[in-house]
Amino acid sequence: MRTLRQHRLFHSARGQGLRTLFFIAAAITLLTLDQHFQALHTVRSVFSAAVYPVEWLVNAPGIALHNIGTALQSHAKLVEKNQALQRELLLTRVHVEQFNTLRRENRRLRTLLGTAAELPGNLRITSILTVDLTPYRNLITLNIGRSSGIRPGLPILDAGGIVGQVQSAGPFSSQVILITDPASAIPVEIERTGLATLAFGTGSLNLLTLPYLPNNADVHRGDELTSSGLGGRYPRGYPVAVITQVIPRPGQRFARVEARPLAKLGREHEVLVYTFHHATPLPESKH
Amino acid sequence: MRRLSAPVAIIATLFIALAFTVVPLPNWALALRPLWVALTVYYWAVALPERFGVGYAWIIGLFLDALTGSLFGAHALALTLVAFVAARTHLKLRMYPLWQQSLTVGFALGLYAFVLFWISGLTHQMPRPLVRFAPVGISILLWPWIYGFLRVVRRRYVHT
Repeated sequence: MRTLRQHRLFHSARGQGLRTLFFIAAAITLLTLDQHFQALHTVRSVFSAAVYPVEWLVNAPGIALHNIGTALQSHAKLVEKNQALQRELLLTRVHVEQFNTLRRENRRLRTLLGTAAELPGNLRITSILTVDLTPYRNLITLNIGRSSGIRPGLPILDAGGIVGQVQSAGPFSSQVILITDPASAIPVEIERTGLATLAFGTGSLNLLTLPYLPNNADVHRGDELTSSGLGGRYPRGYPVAVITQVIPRPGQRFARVEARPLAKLGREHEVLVYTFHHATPLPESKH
Repeated sequence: MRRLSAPVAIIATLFIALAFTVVPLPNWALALRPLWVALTVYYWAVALPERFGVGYAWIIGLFLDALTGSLFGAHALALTLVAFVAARTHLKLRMYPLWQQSLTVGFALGLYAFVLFWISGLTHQMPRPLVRFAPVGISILLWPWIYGFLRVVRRRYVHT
């Protein structure tokens, strides 16, 4: 302690430069490994477990506020809400019945055709932690992780449609990349025509672009986009977005097409994790 | 009063800085979030250079990467540079008046923001310069208060 104190005012920077170089090299190695080989799932998951207390702490006031809000709602309002939900439930049940009939019929027809039926998946509800991640990315944090069976690549849905996919899973929390993230692309098809293409994120929560549609493509404002299931990441046939703008650009190869996501991105507190089994395992999903 | 050891104070303040980094803000305020962790790292690297070196900054960078979901190593690289600049200038910095300190901090944080900007550019994300560099300005303005607060923490709680 004494010696430290003597050196305190004039701490020598000897060796500092070399150490700095070493850590810079180590950081660049990590960057390369993460970017090109996706080889850091385990390391990231250790660090993600270590920062879970931070996430929990930041999330706590939000949960408290939400609980207080629920407790303070008036009886009349709750009754009204309850009735509305009952009605909705009834309607939904009827639709589910129709859906089940269709599913049975679909399975029978598929058996007749001799094609592989889609494997059924599991849905589970999970809540989003109210933490802000980097402002230039569209990421959200879920409050469950590897210990609850979350793994990178799983699709995330909500009542409106596809939200995104799990990017990295820690032991107790996991990060989801939204379909509007600039680094995200989702294979979609135009429901009316079956034309398959890709929808890219832009960084804005209500805008997707479809840069690979030719000027003469049959696409109009209001057309619905559903996931095509190509690539194997997202399940087939879930709503993704609706076309908001089609601007042909005669001088160029592709038109400018924009769409608005149907999932309530950034406004939801709960989402669904869809665990489905790929017919063939994805090369990226090995750890 | 029992005094805490330096690592406890450093870890506690960095924990708070990490929490502030992910506290939800309304959309319009996103570009205004100060670079809490970089500021705290900078302070400790200046105040206790023999205790807090580039290695600590590097590890904290990895925590920040895990927390914010950025490419693993991005914040580690940026914070290493911040700590290095701080260690290099810490003797001069103690002599400077506060406003001049703020400028030096601005240089370190500018470097920090630039490195992150550059990495996101390399990974083909579309970086928005305003969102990247506005926090540097805010952090410079906030520096006198951060400095004052952390100095109080150091003087009252850190046993040297």
